[in-house]
Amino acid sequence: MKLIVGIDIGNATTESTLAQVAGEKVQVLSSGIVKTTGIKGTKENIKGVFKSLQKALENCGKTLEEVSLIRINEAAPVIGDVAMETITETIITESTMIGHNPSTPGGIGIGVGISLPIEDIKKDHVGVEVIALINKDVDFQVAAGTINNLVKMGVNITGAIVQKDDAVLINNRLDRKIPIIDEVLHIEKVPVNMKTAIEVSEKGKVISMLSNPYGIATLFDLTPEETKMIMPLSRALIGNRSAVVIKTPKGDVKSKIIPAGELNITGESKKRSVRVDRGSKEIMSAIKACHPVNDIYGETGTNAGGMLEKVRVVMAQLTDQNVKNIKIQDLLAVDTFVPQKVVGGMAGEFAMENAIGVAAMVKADKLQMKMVASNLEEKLDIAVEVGGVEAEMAIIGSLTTPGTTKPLAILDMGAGSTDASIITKSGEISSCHLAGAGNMVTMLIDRELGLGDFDLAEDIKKYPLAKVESLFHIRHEDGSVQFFDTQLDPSIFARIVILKDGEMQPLEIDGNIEKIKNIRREAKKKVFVENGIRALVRISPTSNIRDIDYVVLVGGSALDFEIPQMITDSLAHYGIVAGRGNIRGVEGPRNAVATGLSLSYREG
Amino acid sequence: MEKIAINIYYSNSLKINGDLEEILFGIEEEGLPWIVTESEEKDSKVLGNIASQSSKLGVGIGIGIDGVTLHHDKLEKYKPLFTFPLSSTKENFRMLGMNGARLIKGEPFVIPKGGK
Repeated sequence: MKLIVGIDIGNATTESTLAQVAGEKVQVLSSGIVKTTGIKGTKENIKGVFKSLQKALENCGKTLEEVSLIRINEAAPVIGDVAMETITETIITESTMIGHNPSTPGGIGIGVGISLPIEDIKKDHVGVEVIALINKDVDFQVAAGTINNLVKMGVNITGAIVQKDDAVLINNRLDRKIPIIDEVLHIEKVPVNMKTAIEVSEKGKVISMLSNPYGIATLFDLTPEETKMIMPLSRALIGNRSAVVIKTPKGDVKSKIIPAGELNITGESKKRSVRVDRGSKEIMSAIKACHPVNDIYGETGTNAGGMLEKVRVVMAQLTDQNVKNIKIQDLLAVDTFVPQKVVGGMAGEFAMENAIGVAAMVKADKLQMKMVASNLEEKLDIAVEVGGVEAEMAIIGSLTTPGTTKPLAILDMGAGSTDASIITKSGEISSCHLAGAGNMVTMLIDRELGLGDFDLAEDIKKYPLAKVESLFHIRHEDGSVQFFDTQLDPSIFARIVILKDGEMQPLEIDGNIEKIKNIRREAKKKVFVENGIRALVRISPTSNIRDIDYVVLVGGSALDFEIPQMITDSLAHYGIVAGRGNIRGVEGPRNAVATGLSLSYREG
Repeated sequence: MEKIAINIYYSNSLKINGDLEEILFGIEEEGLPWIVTESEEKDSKVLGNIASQSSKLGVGIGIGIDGVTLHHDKLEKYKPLFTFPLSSTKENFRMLGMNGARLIKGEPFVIPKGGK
């Protein structure tokens, strides 16, 4: 009898399976899982391997000395990376607008006039229409009193822009009500002595005049040419409850189209070029037409070129190869909208811009698993061998899921790539690797919500949302309510929270829970449902997805709380039984490869 | 008929003017009504509790000689949501009023510095 360990070094986790071998009989004792240390296939992995092994040993009370063999996986020689580029951009050359949603603006309606600091409005302005600028040093009672006096004198004050959160207080003290926008942090940037229009809508409504190019044209007497120029500005103001537009002489806003460029796909027998701004559908069908793909490159000097170049450089560094030798062999493109800061906006305005996200996959020469193995052997003084091909091990491991039988297909949804393999009744195994998996979903969530925080996006991907509705209850994203017998922390009151391991982590995101939930679910569908179908078509012996009967979902992303159901649901349309794997009936979708490595061991 | 409002109970040894008036402005800016009532009681926690119990909205503010409290009628008796010393800044008093209103509106609090 001897003890052996199968260890799977993945992109995200290092998993091990400890087994006892007696002749033909291999009996699994325990397993361990830790985060992978370093990039897969490098020396840094050893620390993680050691920890993972230790976990497995602890779990069954054995010691390292008893282990006689370690089998590590011959990793699929693919790595993936993601990138995103916007196709459109909005630029304001002179500060000409504030699009902004203070929680409590004052008054309702539209006001047009000349912008002037309240202390500079004098007798000379009698009969003139004026928008008062009130900075934070002016008390609201003083401001209201001054406006009332000026109006009595005959100055036509038509609106006000306030730095502090005072709009309602000022408005409540005015004899004649005017629209007031407050919480304008950088009021000093508002140009003085310029024609200014301000609009505040009723509660629950959005502005209609300043978000309409003809509305702005009406207020500012614009020519058709000027109206065309102002178009991106109106667009950037859509959906706001209040806004300011200031016409400065040189002011103009441009929406400029960055040349998105072309993707050139070279297949073994076909070549295609497709313009990136035609969208993901066309790109994906071009890639399908060129299958099998040898390389994909983007037009130089364009966004497409830059995007793929970035991926190539990262890949070259990882695999220690020349950039020229990096061949992109699969690509997943996804259309998306991302909030982009309006260049030149006064209050940090965002406009939703078209963008395209890609995940690319590169076939590496070979990952340095042999090197990892010999390093490990030296360190631990235990025999280490590189076991079978990853795809085969994954299938052998997956077949331990109760209720499965050959022929069986598996979808291994990891962080970097989506891999699929199939085993026929006679035991032949074939597999494929596709670009796009968990990391791409995270990137989409990160960019679409404008977070700029990959870890937070990862949490939003992994955990369900809830809204804290009172000091004692939360409403989950499915609408159900949960009460607590102790008071919740005031800092999460009325906020959207992520329910992470029993903790409530508040999100500093405007917008409602539905919007965040939709972005999350759509990102998962765009990547995993699309890729699941793509992968199964590719490995199906007949190229017809309907000829596959059983699919087991494994890998880190199969642990997700909604991705497996999305795939089960979408594959049900093709008559396929698909579901999350349960390796050895206990591990869930984890540990398939490590289990395969242990079980496939034969003495001799 | 009793008005639907945030109730404010204050110790009769104090006057609501100057910085303390900012509490009222905070509520006003958020668009809610308030009722101010004078009391013999001096302890801000007790005042806050009475105020929240008597408010139809269940939110009360107590202004005592030991400080200012924001209270909710569903909270434990003398455990207010926020407590501030009388020496707090104008801005913090304004925020206390705003938070009282936001508790009813279900909007996130502005978290003031120096309170607890």
